[in-house]
Amino acid sequence: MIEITVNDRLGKKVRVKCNEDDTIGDLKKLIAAQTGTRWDKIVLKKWYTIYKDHISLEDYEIHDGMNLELYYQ
Amino acid sequence: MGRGSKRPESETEEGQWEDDDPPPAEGGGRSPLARRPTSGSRSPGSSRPDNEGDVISSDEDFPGPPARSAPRPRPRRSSRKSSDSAEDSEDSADSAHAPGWHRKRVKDKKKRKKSKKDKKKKKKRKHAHGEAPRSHSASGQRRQRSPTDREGGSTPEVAEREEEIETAVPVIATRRRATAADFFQEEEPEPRRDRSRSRPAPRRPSRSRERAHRGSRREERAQPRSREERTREREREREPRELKAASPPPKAPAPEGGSQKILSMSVAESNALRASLGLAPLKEKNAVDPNGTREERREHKAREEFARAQGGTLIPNSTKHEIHKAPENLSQKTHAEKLRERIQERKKKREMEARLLAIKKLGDSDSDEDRRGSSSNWVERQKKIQAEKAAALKRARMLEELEDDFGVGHLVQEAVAQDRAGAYGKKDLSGLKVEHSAENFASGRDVILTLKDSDVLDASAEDTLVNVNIMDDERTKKKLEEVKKAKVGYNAYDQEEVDELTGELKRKNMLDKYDEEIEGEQRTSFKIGHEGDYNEEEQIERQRQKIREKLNAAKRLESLALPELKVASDYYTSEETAQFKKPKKKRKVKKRILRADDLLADLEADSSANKKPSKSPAPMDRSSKGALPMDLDEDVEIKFEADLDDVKLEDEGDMGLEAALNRARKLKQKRENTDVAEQILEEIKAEPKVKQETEEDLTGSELIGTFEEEEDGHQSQFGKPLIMNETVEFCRNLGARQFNDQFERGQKIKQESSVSKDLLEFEESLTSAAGSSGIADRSSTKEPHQRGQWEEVDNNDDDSDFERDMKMDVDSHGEDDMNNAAILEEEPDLQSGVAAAIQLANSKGYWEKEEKKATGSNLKHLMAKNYSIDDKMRMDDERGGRRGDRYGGGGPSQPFQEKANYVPNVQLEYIDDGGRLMNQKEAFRYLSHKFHGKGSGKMKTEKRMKKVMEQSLMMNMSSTDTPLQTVEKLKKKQKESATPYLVLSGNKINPQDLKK
Repeated sequence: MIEITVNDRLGKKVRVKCNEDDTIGDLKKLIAAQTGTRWDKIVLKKWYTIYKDHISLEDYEIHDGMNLELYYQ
Repeated sequence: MGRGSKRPESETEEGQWEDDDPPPAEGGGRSPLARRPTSGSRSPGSSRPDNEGDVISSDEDFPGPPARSAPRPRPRRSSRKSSDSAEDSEDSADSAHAPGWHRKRVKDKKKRKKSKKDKKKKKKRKHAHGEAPRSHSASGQRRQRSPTDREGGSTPEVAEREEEIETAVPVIATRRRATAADFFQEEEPEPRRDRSRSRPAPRRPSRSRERAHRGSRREERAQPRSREERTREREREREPRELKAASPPPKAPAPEGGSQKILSMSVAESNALRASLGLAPLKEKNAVDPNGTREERREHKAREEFARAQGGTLIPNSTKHEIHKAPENLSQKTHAEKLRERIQERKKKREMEARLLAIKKLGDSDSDEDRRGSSSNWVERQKKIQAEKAAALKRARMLEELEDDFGVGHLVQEAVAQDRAGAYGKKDLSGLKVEHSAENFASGRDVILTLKDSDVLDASAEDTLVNVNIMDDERTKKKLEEVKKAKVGYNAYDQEEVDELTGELKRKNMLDKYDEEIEGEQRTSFKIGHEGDYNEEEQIERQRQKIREKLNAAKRLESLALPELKVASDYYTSEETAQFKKPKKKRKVKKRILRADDLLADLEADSSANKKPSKSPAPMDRSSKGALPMDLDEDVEIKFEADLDDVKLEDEGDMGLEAALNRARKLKQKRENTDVAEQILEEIKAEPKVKQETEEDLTGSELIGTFEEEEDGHQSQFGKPLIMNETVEFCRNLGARQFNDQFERGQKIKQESSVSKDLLEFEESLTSAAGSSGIADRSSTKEPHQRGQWEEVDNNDDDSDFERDMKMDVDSHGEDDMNNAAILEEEPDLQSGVAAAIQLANSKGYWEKEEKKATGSNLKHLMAKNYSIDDKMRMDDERGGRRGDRYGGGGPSQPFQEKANYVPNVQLEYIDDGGRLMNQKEAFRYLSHKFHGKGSGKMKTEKRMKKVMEQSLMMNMSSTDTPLQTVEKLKKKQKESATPYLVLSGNKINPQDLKK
């Protein structure tokens, strides 16, 4: 289990617990559940990398305590 | 209250705010002290369950507004600077994200008013209640921090914060039970999370520090819970309706968060959420509480095993048999399926290929061993072969012995010999040419010779044997030699070369370097001998023979005796004349073939019977010209004979011919200009003969015909009846008319023909003879040609073609003989060649004969008189002239001799753009303007234009009239009105009235 912090810098900052083998899509669903947005409107970014839904966190090498940028589309 | 979180600098502002804005402190204090309920999240096993239990039962209005303790998450940084406007904007941002929140905010505001009153009550209550010792300590802690805060300074407010914290807890507990659907519908964040970061900003420790505090906070929270509940319940009692309808939950006084809150969930919550989303539960390192009882652990283990058995993972904190089973990934499944299929396919293919490999291909050698190329195999094979050979030999010997025993040996030998005889062997090779020098074939060495490529169509090419390698050698040798020659270079003095081998001087021919080109490559060769082998001696002998022959040929005995002296004579002796004569052998043969000559000889008698003196030269003509057209010399010969009267011809076979010649001579003497006619006639006669010749060659039947002729002899020729039928007559008449027309035309132009009656007679006899013979065998081909030929006569005369044609008409188709000839010509045989085709075209009028001369004469007056080829070179002239111009020379390259005295009158005229002639001044101006590219100004040009106009008007003006021609008009008017005057008035006035 890892914890990832997601911040949209507009007032929402969410810390999500998830597994490393979860996909970004799963993560988005979790975030959506916590922030109250629709998960498919969420964009996760780290700098200019937009994370894709079907790829798992460990494949993106997202580790415990990492911060991701949260955007909406 | 919530202000506690604010930094001191902002205090004044806040103070103001509080003044004009009704209690933001109260409502705005959104979860100022909201803490993470870490106790639950960190160790779900321990403290959580109890809380849950409590709260669930107590908290009835779960998803309702009270859940919201701090609806406004606030970024930490902004809280630091904490301008109110920033806060407001944040609010709006938040509400934009979560409209539900907005609603809450509105409610909050309403609430705020109330809570102002409540505050006081609460304060009182708190005081009354007193605080639990632990919470006291907690609040004490905070109090220590809060002195900086304006409001935080007061104890009651701190207590209230505490309260809020407590209120939040139960909500979270209920949350746990909520379904995923709830999570999605509810857009508000988990209240608990709000608390996590909403500690007072100024005091905020670093995260690690915060974590360190957590433990104590947990403890803090544990106790006041019961009290909290109580307060909440009280609040609910107070305004139960409002809660449901519009107002925020009682704990809505949730203070304005000083900093941004991080929303977070506990593991259990997360797991629940994940379960609702269909995700696997979180993997925890120590899912089992190490502190738990043994039984617990065992149970857990059992559950895990069960889960594993089911192919899923255990959901922690779930009821006994809840497991998560990952859904099948359909795409992965299909992908796997595809892969499996492909592998299967590949496998099959491999099998197939293996099977195919086992099959021997056409090109493969038959023996299996060949393919397995190992050397040991090969050795084995060789051994086997050897053994087999030995065995075969043995067997053969045994058989031989047996044969000997039975005495059949010689029979077998005979049979073998017979077989051998039939086979291709040595003797077949004898006489074959080998195109290499014998030196190339060393004895004891096998050389394989092949048949050389030769032209298939060349019948003379004999079979030649060559060896490819030797050929290559020769080629290189030759090339080397050439290189050597090239190195030597130009042999200026044509020095003799010395043969390297023999040391002799090489014999040189004139321009021997071209020998090869002219005669082709000279190759040494020898022939295979009689016995199919090469015998050197024989060869040498042969060479010697050759040399001998050559020497013999070169050897000529020169006599020293001088030729006899003779008296020079102007005339040829008879022997000499004899030299001019042709051997008569040929003639004899010809005579046998061609009977026409004989016929003509006989014709003489016939023509005399025809009441005409027998002077027909026909036989001569026939014999001389038509005998055998192949023999061109004959003509010459005969003429020669004609000239030499006194020379005696000793030819028995030519008696008839001589007679004919005599006759011809006489005829010749009679007429003056019959030479031409004669010649023409000769040719006329010759042509069909040629035709005959070819035809003879062509068909056997005709040959037979000629033989028949021979047998029949002269008599039969005229005995044959002339067949006339209707069709022939009709056609003849048709032709006759045609000819008459032509004839008349010819007469107009010229018919004082010098043709004597004799000629006509001769002609007649000739044609009749030809006609009769033609009827006998090939008249059909002969006659038409006679008639058709007139166009083709080639005349040396200066007469015009037309004239000649007419003459020909007259000659060949005189009134008398018109009947004799068949009118409709038979078509020439197209098979015989192009000439025949042309003839046909001519006769049928497929193409028109050009009358060049006629047209030439007609248009002669139009032709250029002084036309010269030089004119065609104008282009070149120009080019040359241009070049000359550059160097100051102009004009044609050749001087006009005939214009030597020519003095040109040069007048330069300048014309402006309008075509007006300019004077010198104007011309200069014009030129100048052109040169400078700049004309005079507008005014000046206009002025000039005007001037020009005037000038032109002046020029056009008549001297007797005004420019408007008034005089003329006046006259016209007077004419019209018939009065000598003209009334000048504006109105029309009748002249009659004027008179009055």
